[in-house]
Amino acid sequence: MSVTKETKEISTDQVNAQTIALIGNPNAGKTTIFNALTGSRQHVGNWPGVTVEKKEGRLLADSKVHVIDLPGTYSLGAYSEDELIARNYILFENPDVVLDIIDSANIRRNLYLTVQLLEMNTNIVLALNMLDEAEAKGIEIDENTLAKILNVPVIKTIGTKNQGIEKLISSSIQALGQSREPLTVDYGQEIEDEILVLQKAITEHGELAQRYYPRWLAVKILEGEDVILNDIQKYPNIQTIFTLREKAVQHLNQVFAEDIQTIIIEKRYGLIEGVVKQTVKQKKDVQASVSLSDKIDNVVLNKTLGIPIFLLTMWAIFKFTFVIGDPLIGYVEMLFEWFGGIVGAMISNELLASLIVDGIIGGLGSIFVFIPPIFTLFFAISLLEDSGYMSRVAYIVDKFMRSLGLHGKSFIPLLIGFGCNVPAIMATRTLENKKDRMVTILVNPFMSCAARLPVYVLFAGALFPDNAGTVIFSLYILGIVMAIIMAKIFKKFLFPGEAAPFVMELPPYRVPTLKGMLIHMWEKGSSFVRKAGTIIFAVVVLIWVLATLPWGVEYASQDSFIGMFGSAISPVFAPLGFGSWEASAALIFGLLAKEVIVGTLGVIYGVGEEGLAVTITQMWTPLAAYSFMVLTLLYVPCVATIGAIKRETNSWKWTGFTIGYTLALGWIVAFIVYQGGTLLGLG
Amino acid sequence: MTYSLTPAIQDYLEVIHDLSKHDSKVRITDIARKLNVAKSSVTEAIELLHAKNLVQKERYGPITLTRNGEREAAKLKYKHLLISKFLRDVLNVTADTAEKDACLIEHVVSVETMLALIQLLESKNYLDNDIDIEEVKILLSTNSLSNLAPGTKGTIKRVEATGELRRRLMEMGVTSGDDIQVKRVAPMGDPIEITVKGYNLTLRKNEAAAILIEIN
Repeated sequence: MSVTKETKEISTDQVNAQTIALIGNPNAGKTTIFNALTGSRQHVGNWPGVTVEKKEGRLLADSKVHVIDLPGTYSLGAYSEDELIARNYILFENPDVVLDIIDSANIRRNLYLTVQLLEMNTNIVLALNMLDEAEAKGIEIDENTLAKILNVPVIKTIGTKNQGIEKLISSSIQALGQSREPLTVDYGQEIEDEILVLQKAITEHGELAQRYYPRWLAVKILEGEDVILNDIQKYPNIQTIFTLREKAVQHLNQVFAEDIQTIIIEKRYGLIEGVVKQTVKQKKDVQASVSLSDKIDNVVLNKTLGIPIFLLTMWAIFKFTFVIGDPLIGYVEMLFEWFGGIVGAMISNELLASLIVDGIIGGLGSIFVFIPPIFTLFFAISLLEDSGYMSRVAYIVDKFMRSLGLHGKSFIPLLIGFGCNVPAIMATRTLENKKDRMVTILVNPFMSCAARLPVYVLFAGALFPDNAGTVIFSLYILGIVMAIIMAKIFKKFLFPGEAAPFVMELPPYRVPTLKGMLIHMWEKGSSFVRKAGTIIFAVVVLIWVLATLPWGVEYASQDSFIGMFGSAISPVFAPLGFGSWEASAALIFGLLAKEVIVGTLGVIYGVGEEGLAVTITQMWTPLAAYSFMVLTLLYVPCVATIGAIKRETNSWKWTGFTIGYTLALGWIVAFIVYQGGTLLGLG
Repeated sequence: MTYSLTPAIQDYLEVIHDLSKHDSKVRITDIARKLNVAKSSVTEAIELLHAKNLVQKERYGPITLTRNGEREAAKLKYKHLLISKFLRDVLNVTADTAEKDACLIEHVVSVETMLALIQLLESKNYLDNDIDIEEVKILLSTNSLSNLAPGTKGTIKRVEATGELRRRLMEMGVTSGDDIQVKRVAPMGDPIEITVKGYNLTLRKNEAAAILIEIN
């Protein structure tokens, strides 16, 4: 599964390569088929300019053929990024074959996308996937008649059992060179007349016809889709088309009671009804019986049992991740320490040894310690996703999340944040709405991750020996409260607008395949290492340089640049109760990972981690310590999280914003805590 | 149907509806004065209407009808209008009695009777032209999806949502004429789960309020 270096190869010989693009509704089994077609030869990246995942690979059977996995989508409109990407790819990149994966058990809705593809004049091969589920529901599909009506090849498949895949591949290869005249939707005399007029004008325009398939464009113009209307506005001599549009809309509004878009959608579904009548048979006795999925939902979504089961599942996922992940983190740390020790002993030049051991190996180590929790968390998440429970989680918590200004699907990423903010921020990808996703990312660092716990344990243990537990708990609560407040503020001022609708499919439960989950886990984990890893590595090396220079000073001492910088900025933290250079330097190191604060203080105070508690009791007041913990909770997230934010928002602006606002908020809250506490006589 | 509103509660709906036509800010005091009841009774009634998702209220703020509340109030208004018309014009009852009886009958009359009554009035040309009777028929014979109890089956009569939500709903297969069944309500009371085109779809109650269903 470790083929990640294919990017270059793929882009260089793209000119004369043939391409098959995979498209289909979410939950139609597209990923399984993609894996079956490409095997392990796949590359995960992003579509240019957006954070939507782009997967490409090569056909196992013929490595000259590229396979592109388009985002899972229900339609090809222009409302979501996913839809636009899929549509623009088909419109402008002209894939040789579009392989449309259909959930046979849900054929009526799945065919909607197919009808839209037909309208774009694409060379379609239809895969009737999940045939086993359709049969279980008593649905029988006559694929030959379907192929004849639509005039496209139709292949029955069961992706999870690898059935029909070979035939699908051979049909796709066969279709590569061919062009067919697929079925056109008949919109009825009135609309067809207008389409014809517009189509003629588009063809005569020339330039427009080169960019768009004329009939498709004519329908879009009638539908009045903003993206298209704005785009064609740029062309010369476009006024005639807009005049024609106005006339057409006026005429159609007189004829029909409903708006044109509604009629067009209903006509598409009307065509589907006709096709389904001729090709699909439903066995009555099976239809009436309650499906297994329904029986599970009767328990899992039960009014009284639903929430306890949900809480239990979340707890189990969390437990699983850290029971498996934590020891692995320990092993990774040990491995890098051991390796650093060996390398350090081999190099006689002290500076070089420090660069390699503290800088490079330490830097790599700080990336690799994130791999165990990321891999285990994503394994757990793909289990939730592939089984179908993920949608149920969103459904159960939506009401609660909405009271916080968020979406049901924001819940999982926030929960994961308590483990580690990095996979948490990556998990926001399940949110389709960009605004909801941005808010969820921006407040995620306030979910107090596991790495902050050692800091709390040290300070609370040393200075609040009698109620350390309560103190630590209060910090978790403070983080949640801050997240809620900031989410409300961001929602109101930065990302205003209507709440994204909760019109969501509840797919039937499915048994996830181990292979599918492993591939999923590998993709997420490895993409983190590659993308976030570079940023983390750069910062780690930079901090090493600052802690080592100028030449000859002791590593991370007051005379090093870090020390000097710590001394310089320490007055900023004085009003918070800790104006020492040691505290400032520890906070700078805390950017690497928050638990590093503990180790740094150990080094700087020269007592090691063991003697630290005693030193802290002597040098810190409880109030200053609490203020320090508050700042540790809230201030700038660690570099790994910053890397993840940059990667997921695809914007330096929002990454910079997160750094800025968390620092400001952390300072303000710590200030209030310390000064307020002093005023109340708690200092 | 999940409603079982007592006549008294239905009166509250009508009063809020009438008051909101004159002034968009309807307050408890206004309702109490109009119905000549104590403010505490009004507060109690509003709580009940709020629980049934028929009114929206903010603490110390004005009371407004929700989309569902508007529909229920409009249903009552048309029932009253048509019944009193029938009593006066067909049965030749005095205007005063017709008015009083309509006030009582409107709360209990069935949809079936109302539709039959409309047919009678239509066939005898008793209806004024300013009433769009086809709209009234749809109004009386449908319920918004958000009001239906789990297990209810029906046919989609109209999707009233606009913009992105409308397109999304329709593309997901929520189109007029289709069969629909309410499956469940989420454990916290929102969103709801429905079956349409043979698959399960979830949507929030305020989104479902914009879908009109004729119960089978």
